[in-house]
Amino acid sequence: MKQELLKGVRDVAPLLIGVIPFGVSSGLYAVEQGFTAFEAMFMSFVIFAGASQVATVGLMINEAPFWIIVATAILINLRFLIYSVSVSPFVHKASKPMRALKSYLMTDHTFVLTAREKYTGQNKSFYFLGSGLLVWSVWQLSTFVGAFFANIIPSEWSLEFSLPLVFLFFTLPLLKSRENIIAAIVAGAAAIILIPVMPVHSGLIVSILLGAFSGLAANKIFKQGVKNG
Amino acid sequence: MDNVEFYIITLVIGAVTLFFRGAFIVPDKAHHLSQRLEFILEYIPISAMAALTAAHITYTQSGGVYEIATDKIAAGFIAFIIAWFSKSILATFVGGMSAIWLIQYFDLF
Repeated sequence: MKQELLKGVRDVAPLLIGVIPFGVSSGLYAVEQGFTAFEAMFMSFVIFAGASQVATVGLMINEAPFWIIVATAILINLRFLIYSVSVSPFVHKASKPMRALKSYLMTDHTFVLTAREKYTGQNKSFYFLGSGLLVWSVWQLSTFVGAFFANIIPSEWSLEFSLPLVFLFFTLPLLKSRENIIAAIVAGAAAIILIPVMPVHSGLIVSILLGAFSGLAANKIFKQGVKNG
Repeated sequence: MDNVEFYIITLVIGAVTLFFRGAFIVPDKAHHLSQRLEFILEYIPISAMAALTAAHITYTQSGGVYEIATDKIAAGFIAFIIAWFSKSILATFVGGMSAIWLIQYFDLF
């Protein structure tokens, strides 16, 4: 049990090179946008999902309506439903409170390690817990550092630019199929065109939906092409 | 946005996100996601990341006003090339930040 927990910690450690700059950037971004360091940390503890936190901060600061902010964050975090299905066979034997804790600790990194990488150890549940706890700790610490230093670092340093750099880096590995590339191009182009002009700051959510539907449409068209060809 | 609104929105998003995370883990009975729903959800992560990346690279924003940021677009393009070939977040980070500092220092765009 302890061995599996430590193995989870060890295996997720190399992935933290992406978590640290993301956490720092998101803390920095929240404070630069006018939130206090405490509010940035509160959001980080409660939501614990970087991309949706950043989107939420941007929409809140623009006084977007409640339903737009919540719907956008929900859309971004819908992927956790898929993760939940994939991970459930490995963590189902644990007690209910432990399962709730593991649910909270679910991230892209723990999902990739536990479900996708087909880890074959005997107690995957503790492996998941170990990796999840390390990602959570490093994320919170990085966010704290970003939020704390935001008021010290001069704005001329343009450190807010680190955020899109992290997003960019995380987007590239997802461009693994023609459908994904089409979804990314449509969503990206739509975001550039629609975000400044759409009413009630709905540009981001509409862009995500347009990208996702384009991916679905491309998938159908390509499958149809294979059948006909 | 006042303080109360901030906390309500954060708690609602946190609760829904936790529900998604635990939907198939916390209940005692094992459930499955329909293949159709899984298929529909497949392209949301890439679309969300692409939309956020494009928006944050293209615009600077102040008081709800969006301005095209040519310096960020140029530095973002350089970072994209570095990320594509290096596959390293450190190289992407250092390259992108160096690019934006140099562009701003020499007032290139």
